[in-house]
Amino acid sequence: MSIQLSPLIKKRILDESIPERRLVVTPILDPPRQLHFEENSASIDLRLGSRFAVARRGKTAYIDTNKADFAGEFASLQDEYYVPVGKYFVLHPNHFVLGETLEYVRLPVDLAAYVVTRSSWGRHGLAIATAIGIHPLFCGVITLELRNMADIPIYLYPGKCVLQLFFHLAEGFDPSLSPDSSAYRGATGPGIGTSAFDADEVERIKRFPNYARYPLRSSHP
Amino acid sequence: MATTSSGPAPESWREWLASEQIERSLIFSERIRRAKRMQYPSEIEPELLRFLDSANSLIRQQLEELKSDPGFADLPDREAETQLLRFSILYTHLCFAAALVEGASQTQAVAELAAPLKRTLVPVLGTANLLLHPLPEINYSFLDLGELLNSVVNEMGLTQDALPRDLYAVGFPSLQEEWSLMHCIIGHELGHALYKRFRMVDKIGPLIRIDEAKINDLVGSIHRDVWGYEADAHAPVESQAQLPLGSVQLRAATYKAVSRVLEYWIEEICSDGIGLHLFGPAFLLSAISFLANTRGLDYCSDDHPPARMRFRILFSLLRLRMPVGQSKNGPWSSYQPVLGQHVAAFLDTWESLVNAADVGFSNPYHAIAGSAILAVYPRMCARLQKLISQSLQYDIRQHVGDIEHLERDILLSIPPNEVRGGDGMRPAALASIFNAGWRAYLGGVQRLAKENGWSAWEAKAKLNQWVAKGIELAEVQTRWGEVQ
Repeated sequence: MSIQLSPLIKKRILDESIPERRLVVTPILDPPRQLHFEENSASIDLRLGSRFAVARRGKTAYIDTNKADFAGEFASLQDEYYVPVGKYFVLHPNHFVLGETLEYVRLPVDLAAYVVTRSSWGRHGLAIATAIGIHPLFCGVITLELRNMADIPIYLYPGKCVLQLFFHLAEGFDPSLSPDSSAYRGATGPGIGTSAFDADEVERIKRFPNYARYPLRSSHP
Repeated sequence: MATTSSGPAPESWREWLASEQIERSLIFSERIRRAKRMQYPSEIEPELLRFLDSANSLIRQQLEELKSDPGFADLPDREAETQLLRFSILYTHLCFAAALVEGASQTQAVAELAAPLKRTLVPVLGTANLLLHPLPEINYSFLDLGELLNSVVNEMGLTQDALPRDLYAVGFPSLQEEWSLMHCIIGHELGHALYKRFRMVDKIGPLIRIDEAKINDLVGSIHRDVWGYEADAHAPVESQAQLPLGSVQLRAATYKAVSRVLEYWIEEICSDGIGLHLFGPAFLLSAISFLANTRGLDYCSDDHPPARMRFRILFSLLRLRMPVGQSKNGPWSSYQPVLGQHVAAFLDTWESLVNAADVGFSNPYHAIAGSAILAVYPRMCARLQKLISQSLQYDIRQHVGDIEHLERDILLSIPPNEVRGGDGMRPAALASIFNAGWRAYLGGVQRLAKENGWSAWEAKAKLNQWVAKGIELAEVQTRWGEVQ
């Protein structure tokens, strides 16, 4: 997969002639800066959005990913905060919250992307994404896994450029396969995904024979 | 007042009541302190909390002064009681306002709506402060919060600057908080604010004539029921001195009751008209969806006319805003190029449903008020159209291109926040977003569901989320443009 430099990305964003090939990143508040008009950058910059989801620690004993409705239960134990552009959210040391990009992204069939923290924020201790791959045809705001790894609280201002998106050309798209119907699709706020914990898989893992119960005997003398 | 062994001594009851009131103010202080820790979607909530806090401090100060004033003990009982109880009335208002603010902290899902709605009002009102709060019932509401709290301002001798100007509280059904398309109804609630500002009652009211004969018939029938004989209810007014006193009073009371109903109904109808002017056909679509699903077509009360009548008037008003040259009574499908195929078909269906029966009223007072309005509603519509300023009008004819663009975006799973214009993209108008959302809702849910592997319900929920996101992003873009 070849990485796409920003001039190419800019063209793809502006070209609406072929809907399937259209790359959507909206809104781009400051196109010259975010799309790097003046340089051959390998990424575009995205901004922090207004919604944050914070786990209610006092109510959450643990996360059991094998529970049937774990995602729904976990989501119900989260508080959502709406912080308008111009206000701030304080991320304390070691605090983990979910955030979102301000921009809504929709990838065409031939592009994949990776989310990376902008280095200047990373050096202040902010980690933005741990699950960083975005598949072709993804659409939605990108959920950010925000964590302050430094010792000092960080003020997070919605509207600030905090991450970058690297695009790669993706080949081999098969239109006969079904669309990605993951819970993230079309998301408009930070969300808890469920696709990695589907019920069938959970059941299969639960039914795994516990070999440790059998006496360990050698068949050979 | 009980005087138990632990209760107040009878001679100090005034001091005891004053102390209780002071304690109430301390409890209220604590409540405000807690409310200040909450997250709010806009600036108006913290500002209002500051006002409530300072009003509370002033009340406490006045109570302390009153309690320690030697003259207080010498006041006659009735006067002392009045002095104390006026604070209780103020606390009713303060607590009510505090509850609305606390509710606003939970309205994260509609948070994005407050700023663009306020932006809609500012060109007309100059200033506007909106507090959106959830309601437990399936209803929308409007309250002039500034008017309510003015009593506190006046009573406490505060200056008018202490309270944010043009302060309105708009309630929405918490159950349907995330159903963004339905929130077009808020156009009607904003209409109440503008109705008062435009003094529409003075301009629309004179068009309405109460039918004298119907009043006489009603008075006659009540007379028969109550007194058991026929009064000459059709007699001219000057000869009514001959009627028994009860009959004259009955006639006056009937007039009063009908006038009262008319007063409320005209305000509702004008507010509907303003909603339509703010958001175009999207307002009518959400009004149909909401009212027909909540109370039915012929439900009415003293303060709300039947939905069937409201829809008839809204259809007429919408026709006035359609392209000229078309038949004014033709089917909505003839306006398809402006409205879109599915919206036109929906309007055709609902107009025939609405016209399939006469408007029903729940009592004779409502019937008289309703027939007075129905007799002049085409003229009412024309006058309403004239009254509402140009700055308020959303003309769908000028935004057809935008709406089509935004609808296409929604059907591609993209929030409808911007349209191409001039050199680049520009933020979409709130009304265009609502109209594009309704078009996609009425014509594209199946397609969205199929393409994304969702159920119809999931597709509808997503569509509403995209509309909300579109509103949020368009507002961010607009404000970004303003600060550059």
